[in-house]
Amino acid sequence: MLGRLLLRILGVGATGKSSPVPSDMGALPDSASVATVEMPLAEESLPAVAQEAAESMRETVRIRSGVLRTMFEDFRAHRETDRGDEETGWLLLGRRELDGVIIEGALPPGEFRDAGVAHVNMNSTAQAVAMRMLKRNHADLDVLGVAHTHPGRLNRPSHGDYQGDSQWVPKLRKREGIFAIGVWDFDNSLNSGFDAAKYQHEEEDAAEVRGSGSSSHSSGRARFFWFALAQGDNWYRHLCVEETAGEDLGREIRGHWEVLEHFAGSIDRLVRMQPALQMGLMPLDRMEIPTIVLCQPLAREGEELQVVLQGSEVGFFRTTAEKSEEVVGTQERLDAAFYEVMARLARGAR
Amino acid sequence: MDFRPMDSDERRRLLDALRGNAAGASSIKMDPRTTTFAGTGTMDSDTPRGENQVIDAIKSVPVHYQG
Repeated sequence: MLGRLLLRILGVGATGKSSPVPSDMGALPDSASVATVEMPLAEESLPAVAQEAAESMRETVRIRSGVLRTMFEDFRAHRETDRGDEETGWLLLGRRELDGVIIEGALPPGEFRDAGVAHVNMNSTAQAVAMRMLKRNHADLDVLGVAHTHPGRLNRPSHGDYQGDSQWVPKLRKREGIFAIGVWDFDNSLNSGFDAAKYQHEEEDAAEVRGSGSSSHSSGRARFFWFALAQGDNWYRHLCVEETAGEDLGREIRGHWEVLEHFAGSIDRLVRMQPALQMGLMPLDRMEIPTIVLCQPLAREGEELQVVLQGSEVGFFRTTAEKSEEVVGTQERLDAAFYEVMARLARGAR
Repeated sequence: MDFRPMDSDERRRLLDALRGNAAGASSIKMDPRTTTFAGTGTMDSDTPRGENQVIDAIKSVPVHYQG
């Protein structure tokens, strides 16, 4: 099967370069809306450090409509799964420019996330591999922050969130991060079926977010509230985020997430040890099954080892401009099989 | 090439820039066309972050925990 697959892959380019992101991105669903919520707390009550930080965040923060669409679609789909009562989240990607910040992509938490009703720990290895792929075409793409949901009604970060985020933001550019909290049915709190006792821990979290000019985005029953936190801040600030046209840069890679997540650990180890290794996504409109191709240049000019990842299957192919030969790797783990095949090729064997 | 002594303001700005750079707090900018001194910037905001710095940030995303 992988032999036939390779011919098709070669037909669309053996370098493993990804195609442009599909351009079928539409606007948000009709039910989508943006609500600006003014918070009453006066800024003069802020400590000096927080006021300085608030000033620094007066720059414009924009989010592409495609990213919002991703978050709303994912949130809705998540609620319908048997893990719908758990928290879920997204890694927010984008760029800090001279005139402001733009959120250009959102990466999912992955099936291998660790989550429950009061926590979410995303599969950061898979997100790291995805980021490396995205940076091939978007070299200045950076991580900006994290969005996550609260299954109850808490529409702001919790004390537990602050404990982690305040330690993390020094690792971000400008040492500040953007955060979003997603809440389901926030505007229908009188709806039947909400089990307040189940989310009692949220009610006990009494922190107040500071500043004014906050915003939220809603679509159907989902709503996201925006915040900022910089190094040294003693709590989050409200953040005004404007929607702007544009695709979610992570959209194409999300179609390959299952296979990416399956092999993420091995790919991550290979990328760190093999700087010449190239990674590519096969466009979904040309393949029946999401496929990732890794390409490792070999010693002889014009030769490369192509590693085809499809579902849980792995195929190794020694490829030149004229032909391609399959090389068998017997090791179960991808990176171990990669080095087994490389050693075999170095000895001149197949 | 037009060589001329710096005026006092230019000399002061350049010395400030060199001191800031030596302290690791600022970058020194150069006009790429004329190679003249073009001011200072903040290291953190001017210098593109390396891929490994970005990956390190992703791998250290904390657990988001209510409690």
